[in-house]
Amino acid sequence: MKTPREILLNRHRDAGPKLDAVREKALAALAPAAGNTAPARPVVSWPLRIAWTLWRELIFPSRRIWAGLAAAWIVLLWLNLPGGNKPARMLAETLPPDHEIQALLREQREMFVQLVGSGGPSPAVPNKTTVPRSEVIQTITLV
Amino acid sequence: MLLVSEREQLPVREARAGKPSAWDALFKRYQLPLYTYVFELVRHEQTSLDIVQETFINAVRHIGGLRDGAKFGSWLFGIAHQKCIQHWRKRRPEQVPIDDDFEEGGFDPGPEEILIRKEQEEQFMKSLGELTERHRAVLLLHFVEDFSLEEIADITGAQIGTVKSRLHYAKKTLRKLLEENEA
Repeated sequence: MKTPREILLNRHRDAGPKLDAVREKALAALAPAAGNTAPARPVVSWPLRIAWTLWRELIFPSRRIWAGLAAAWIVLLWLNLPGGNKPARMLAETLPPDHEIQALLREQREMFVQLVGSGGPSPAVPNKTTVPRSEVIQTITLV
Repeated sequence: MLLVSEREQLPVREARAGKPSAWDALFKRYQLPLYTYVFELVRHEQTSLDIVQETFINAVRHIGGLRDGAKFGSWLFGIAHQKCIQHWRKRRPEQVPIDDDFEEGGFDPGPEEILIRKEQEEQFMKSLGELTERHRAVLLLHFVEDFSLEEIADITGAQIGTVKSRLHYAKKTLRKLLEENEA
């Protein structure tokens, strides 16, 4: 008694030599041009091979996830770059130029004057402490 | 009997690296089963040899597309199966055996093995030839390389349920034909 596999393979075993020729032709697709003894593929150093295997097995199957993570990290790094006051620079870029600020302040002062009704800002309280205290002669009036 | 279900250590990794000796070993391992499968489907010697050669060349060119080296066998047979379909398409485009998507209930092909007596060998081959291409394909994959249902589904592009029902039907028909002949 034989299995179907044995029957089938035995039936076609005579095609062996022709299959060997087919195999040789297929291997020729690998072999380099005649006369060239160099290997079909260039010899790749092991670090590159490891890197390629890591790329193929780990990164390429989840390339979109890795790309998203990398983009997030790039944004974070850019926001936290040392040297260069990025927040202040960003703030400065959003503020209007100085002359505009001064014009705005001037306008607001004029509005204040109009509202308060005086000719100008009230004079500042004179500074009474121009002389050191130790030299101030105090006059005491007895009543 | 050769236990084709054993996962022998095939030099797939070396083949990916382009080593000719690895490819030679792989081709030697599969040339006869592959030729047998293709011949029993297309029934023409020269066409079968051409398909086997094209399958090998395609395998060399596209080995990078094979993720799991352990599935080299089913991957190779999958390429050959597609080439057989292309051959049928050229020969009789109106009768291409397209794999249906239907599922006919949970037939279990069963673990029992078919054993053929010497005097039944011719009848076995004749009965095999009387099956349709799609039934013959799943039966051949099951007999020649003992592929699992999942592997046969991958090779033929059919769903597992469809493969199950076809295998069940093909085995039942084969047994019936052999018993009729015995009677």
